[in-house]
Amino acid sequence: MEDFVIRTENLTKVYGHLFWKKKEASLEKLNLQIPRGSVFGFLGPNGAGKTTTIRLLMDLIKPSEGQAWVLGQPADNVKVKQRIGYLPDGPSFSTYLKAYEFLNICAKLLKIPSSERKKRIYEVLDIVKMTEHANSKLGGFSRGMIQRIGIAQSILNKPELLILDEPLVGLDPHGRQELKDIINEQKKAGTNVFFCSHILSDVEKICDHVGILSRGKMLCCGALTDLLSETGYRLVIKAGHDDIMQKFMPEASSSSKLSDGGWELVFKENVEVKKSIDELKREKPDAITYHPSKENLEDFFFRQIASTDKRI
Amino acid sequence: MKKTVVNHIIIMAIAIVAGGMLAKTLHEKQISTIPSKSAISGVPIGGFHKFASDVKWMLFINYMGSLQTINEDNKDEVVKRLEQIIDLNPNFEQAIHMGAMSLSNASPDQAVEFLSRAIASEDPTLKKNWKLPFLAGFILMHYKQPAQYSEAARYFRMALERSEGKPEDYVINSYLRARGNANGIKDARLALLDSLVFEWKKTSGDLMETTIIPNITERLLVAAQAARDSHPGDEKVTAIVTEVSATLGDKHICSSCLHSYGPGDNFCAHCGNKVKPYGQCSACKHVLKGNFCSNCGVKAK
Amino acid sequence: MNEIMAIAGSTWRRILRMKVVYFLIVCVWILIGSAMNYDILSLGEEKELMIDVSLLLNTIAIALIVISVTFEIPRELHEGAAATMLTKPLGRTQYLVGKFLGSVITAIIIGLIIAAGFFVLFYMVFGEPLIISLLQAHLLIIASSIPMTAIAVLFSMILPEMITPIITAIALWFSFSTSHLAKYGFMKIIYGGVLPDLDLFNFKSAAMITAGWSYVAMAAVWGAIFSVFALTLSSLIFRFKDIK
Repeated sequence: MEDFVIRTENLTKVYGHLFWKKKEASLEKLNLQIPRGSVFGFLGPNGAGKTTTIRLLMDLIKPSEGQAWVLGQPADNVKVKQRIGYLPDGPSFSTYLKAYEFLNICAKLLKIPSSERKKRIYEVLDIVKMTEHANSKLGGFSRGMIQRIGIAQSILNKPELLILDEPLVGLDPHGRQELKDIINEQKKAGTNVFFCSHILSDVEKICDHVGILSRGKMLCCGALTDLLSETGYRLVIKAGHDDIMQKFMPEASSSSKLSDGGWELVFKENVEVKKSIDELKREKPDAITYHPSKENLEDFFFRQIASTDKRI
Repeated sequence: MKKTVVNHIIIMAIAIVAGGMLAKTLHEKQISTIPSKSAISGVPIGGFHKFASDVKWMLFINYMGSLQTINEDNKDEVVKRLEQIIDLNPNFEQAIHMGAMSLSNASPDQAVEFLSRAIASEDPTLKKNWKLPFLAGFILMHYKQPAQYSEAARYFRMALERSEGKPEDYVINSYLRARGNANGIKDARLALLDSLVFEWKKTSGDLMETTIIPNITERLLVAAQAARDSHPGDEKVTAIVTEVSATLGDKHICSSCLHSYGPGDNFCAHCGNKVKPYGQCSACKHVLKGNFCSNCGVKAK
Repeated sequence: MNEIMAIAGSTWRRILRMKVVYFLIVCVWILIGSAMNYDILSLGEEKELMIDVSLLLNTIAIALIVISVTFEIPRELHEGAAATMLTKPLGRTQYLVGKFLGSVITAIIIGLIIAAGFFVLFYMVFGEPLIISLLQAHLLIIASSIPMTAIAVLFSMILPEMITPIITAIALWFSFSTSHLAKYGFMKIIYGGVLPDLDLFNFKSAAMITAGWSYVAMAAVWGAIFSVFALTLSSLIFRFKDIK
């Protein structure tokens, strides 16, 4: 058994093959390795290439270069899809079908034995709290209801790998919590989860691994604990000590004025700065508070994105 | 992926060849089943030619209803409309028939032309239609100036041949009259006799009467009698009568008046001419009613 | 096969759930029946007219069902419904064949319903029972749904969504109109092989002439062979197509 649920090698997707269209790389030489047993959060700004990556993994689009493996099989292997659950971004289903009928078709495609089909369909409908809408047409569903049906079809086959593209979009806060619970349940059941989202706080709560993609390139990828271990220092200067602020400002990676007139400066790991702060702490213990800071995912994400923008 | 592409191409190639060959066979079969198909207009109307001809037919009827008469002014329009209908449906019997009838006075040539096209059709239904050649003959004989009897006779004969042994009397009479006229015989009785003799000779006296004219012997006898009565002493008529009576001698026909006589008659009941008796006992000359004479008991020979 | 039938099932469910389909069938029956009123206008040709109208409208109804495929496939591809299906263990060819079969089965059902209605009307108006040649003419029209659908599927793959239905309708129209091309040399093989000769299904001009059961069967087989070609080509194109 391969150690990685998803593996890509130089995966590239260029759109605009025709000679009169400008070629545009949506994804460039993506090398990704997602270990088994992980919940992987795939992050990136709009247009970063997240959905492109997912579509490549699901064989919905063909790579211009490179290759992808899912659950140890090439991504274009049809059979492997039996072990995958997929929720597309903004799912759209045949509106003329009733929820039960749609899930029944999915169950048939997933080769769920006919004797178990009905039971399983009602199980997943129950999980997504849509049992009472089983015989309603999908055309009459709200966005949130469609999202729930999308989740239901993705977990219908008790997948080994669950790929969710923006699963939290369209759900109300209650629905988001329910979905997070579902993902946690899946995680507990041993399902590998790969999902992309813009809601970083949720990702931080759910994921143990993250990858950040920007402009088609992977900026960083790894266990969340490792990535966020890059510590710095957070110096809070009380109001009326602007001289201290001015002294340390040039070294700070970020600064912000607080509502009480004080300042908060953030430093990266720096021995010299730490020494100066330690001295200041001894001299003016009431003027500052100082503590090592651990970034949250949001900060980390924006720092990574900003660094790419600077490079460009 | 490459292997899959190759497989796809192989399947397509096989399907093209198999499909092409089968389509060719079907095409030929279709043409043989519907011979008129090749005569249908090539106008691309999705195969709805027949429906289009129906619509044009109804428009034609509507148009015809608006005309007082068909004359030089409007005959081209009538012809054009009919052409359109027949191009779309070469088997449209009623349109051909009605169209030809409508045009017969104003433009007999075009009327016959429409009919001749339909008559020449290989379509199984049109091939059996006797009304069309009859109408063509009728127009040639009655509307065409001068009348074309020979051509009319050809069409009438065709109508008789298509009547499958049950022709209408007026078709027979039209044929016989046209043929006689074609031979330059002005007198109607003589013309009729001449034509009947012509057809009768084809039977070679066969009792089964394989000609296209049913009951030809009776018709011939009646015609000969009428001609003999109306043209007594006419050499040609006399020759015909002699020939007929000689041929039909064993059918108990009076050689003088061509009326039939009964068993035991020694003289013709019609003209008094002496005839060869039959059905008599060889011993007592009594009329026989069975295998033995009821009078003397002698076995009949 | 189960996967194909699952897709086919969703397709015919879609069509059979459209109220307009039943409206169409009823309208067709009414129009067929109304032909009996044209006796004076057609000088006694109302029987022929009813036959021709029934064949015409059955062809159009089936063509409309077939053309609906050209709306459905691009829309499913565009809106992502197809993507959901294709992320299940379902090959792209299976998806296309499923769509094809679903549409063909629906067209056959609707064609048979229209034909049955016509024969009932024909019996009621003219007192004539089922005429075999007419039945064969209708069956040929119904069988023409096989290659017609294959053409629709192929065009759904190669043409932009906006123009697919129009181009498909024009292609079907010309496929029924250009059989005379089959007369010319090389065209004999190409025509019917690569280019569809739908006129092979056209006995509308001679509905009272018996096509023969063998002809009907052979025409259906040709339709199936052409469909294999068209669907294989569609599948080949679909293989390289990016799906939204």
